[in-house]
Amino acid sequence: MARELRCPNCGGDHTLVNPGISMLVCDYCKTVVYWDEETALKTGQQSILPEGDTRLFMHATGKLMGRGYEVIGHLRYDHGRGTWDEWYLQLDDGGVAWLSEDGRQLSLERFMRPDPNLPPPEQLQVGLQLTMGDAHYSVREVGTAVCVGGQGQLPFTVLPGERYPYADLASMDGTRFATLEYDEGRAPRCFTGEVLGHDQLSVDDEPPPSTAGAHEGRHIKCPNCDAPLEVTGAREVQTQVCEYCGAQNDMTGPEARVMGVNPEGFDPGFVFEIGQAGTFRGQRYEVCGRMLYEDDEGYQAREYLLHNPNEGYLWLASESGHYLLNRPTQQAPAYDPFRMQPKQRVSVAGSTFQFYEWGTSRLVYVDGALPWQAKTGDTNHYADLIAPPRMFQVESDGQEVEYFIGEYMTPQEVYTAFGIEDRPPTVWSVHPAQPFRRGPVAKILMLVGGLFALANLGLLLWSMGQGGHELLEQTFMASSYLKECVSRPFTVGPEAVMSMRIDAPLNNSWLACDVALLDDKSQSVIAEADAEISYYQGVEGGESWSEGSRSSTTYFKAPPSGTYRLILKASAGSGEAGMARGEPLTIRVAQGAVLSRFFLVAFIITLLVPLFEIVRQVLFEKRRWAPVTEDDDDDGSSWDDDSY
Amino acid sequence: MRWIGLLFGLVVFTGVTGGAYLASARGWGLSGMLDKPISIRQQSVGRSRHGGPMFLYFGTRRHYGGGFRGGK
Repeated sequence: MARELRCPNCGGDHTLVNPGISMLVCDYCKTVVYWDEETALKTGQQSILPEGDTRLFMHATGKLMGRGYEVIGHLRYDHGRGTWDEWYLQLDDGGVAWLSEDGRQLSLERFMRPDPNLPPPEQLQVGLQLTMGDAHYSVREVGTAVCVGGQGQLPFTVLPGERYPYADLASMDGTRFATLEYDEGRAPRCFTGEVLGHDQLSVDDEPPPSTAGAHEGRHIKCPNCDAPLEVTGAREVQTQVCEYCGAQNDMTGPEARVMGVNPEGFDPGFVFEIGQAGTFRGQRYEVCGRMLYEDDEGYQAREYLLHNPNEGYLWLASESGHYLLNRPTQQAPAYDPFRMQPKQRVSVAGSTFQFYEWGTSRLVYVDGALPWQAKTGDTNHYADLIAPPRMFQVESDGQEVEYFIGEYMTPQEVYTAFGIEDRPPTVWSVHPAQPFRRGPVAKILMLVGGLFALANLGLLLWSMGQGGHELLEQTFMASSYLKECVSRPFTVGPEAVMSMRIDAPLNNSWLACDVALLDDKSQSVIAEADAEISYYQGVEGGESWSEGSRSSTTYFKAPPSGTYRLILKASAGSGEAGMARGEPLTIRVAQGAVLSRFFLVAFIITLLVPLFEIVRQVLFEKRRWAPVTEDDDDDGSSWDDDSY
Repeated sequence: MRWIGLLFGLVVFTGVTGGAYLASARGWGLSGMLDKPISIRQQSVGRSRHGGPMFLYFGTRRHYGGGFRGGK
């Protein structure tokens, strides 16, 4: 049975939605009303919650994973660099659910029995890995949360202004979340959650107009120069940079507060303007913030914050004319990237990345309106992992670690996305995430060339075995060939290539012979040849050696068909100036051999394009890695600081 | 462009491979015949110790490596 409750401050009537409610914020006077176990009503301060950029709102109805719900309670916390919202949902089937909304990310949370072995808050640090239940988590953020305020009815008492240490954790694949909340003197409360797709939560009605940006419609002046601040509506803005004086204003309070000022007369060299719209991933985004970072070595990187009301934010990073389109991700690398060496491989959510570099970057210039607090001089540590065309980036300021997954975009693609017709400046350098691109013609030539190279290699090997058919084999004794002798007749056919092979069992001796081809019919010599063979061997220093060959083959063009003989005369010797040993000399004449040399030439020619492309790719990769593998300053050592 | 590349590649590489096959089978570039046949009757001027004609082709002809000695 529903319980009725009257606000002790204004007398406003409320019906408690479920028996677990122990606190409500009066709908009429915004006074926090809570009660203890003795049902004694107490009142706290007023809870006036500034509007935020949230998808849910009080009394919103719809379907959560197919179950009807109504939002009956709302809490907002501030973690120092922004806020997040907790929504308390009454489900149609009598159950309740907590939804956490951070930026545009929704997660469904469940209370988990606290593990007594959890570390105290002072031992928590970013990157620490913990096992809770059956899941392995890493700490993504540590800090102190302040309750900004609440609305509606809640099952526990949280007063505005209450502070407590907390840690946000996520599983390595980013699909599960956990939050540890440390109440003073109590064991930590533990909530686990899962990322909720926007399609898993439907909202029946549009949010009321008042849920637009906190400062929308208000006239705010820059505290630095008194110029009016152009407040962006319809999204949360925590930093608004004055376009006149460059003051970086904190917009989280009721009035703007100066956090820093851009350097005067400084040209940050941005290419795209605030408000400029472009199409990315098929959606229209607007540039709403621009940042210029400088790393330890003075290299500059520009970032454009892009916003789409439905899709949230994208980061377009520009470095040396290259572009990378980044989006945040909850997936974490398997190892601490700040302890890795260049080219070391690491798995991130099933994909393999290679560590590229880490460093520290400093915010040099910022303008526009950002959903986080940013001021010049802010530093963060970064680590880059690459799997071209993707880059996985880790950013940490010591209190929070964030992960981004980016995809390389060519300057022309970015210009096209922004509808710029001019050609972007030519970029000669190689970006770490830049994929090696091969044109369609090069690809097809590489394929065809490779196939033909294989074919020619096959023909080369085949031709080496094509010695033709034998026409003559005859052995001559030294007594014959040292003078002059004539072979048996043999018949030459129509094939074009003939070969003559001489063999002798030489041993530390040599043999040189002159051969003439004698046309048996005309008794005329129509061709001549000479060949030399030598073979030496021995043992020197305990190792045997040999050089030369006991055979030699000569190829020549076949004469017209007919009967021929060979006229042979040889000279021979042994040692350095010794006499002939008289080894027998065997001559083999064959016809129909296939030459190999042309297939070798064809193999080389057809291999030129694939070889050229392979060399081009190797050189490209060399240039990609040169900054981190050839940099003497970067010795790959990890930081002394344990946290990242 | 892809088709142009394919056509170009096929034409060029087929030409190269076909040319290589023809050259290999036909023995292009191999040394061939002497410019002018040399009759051994004119060259054979000696006599054997048995009284018959002695064959002396290389003994009377001085040549300077002008013959074939190429490899495969």
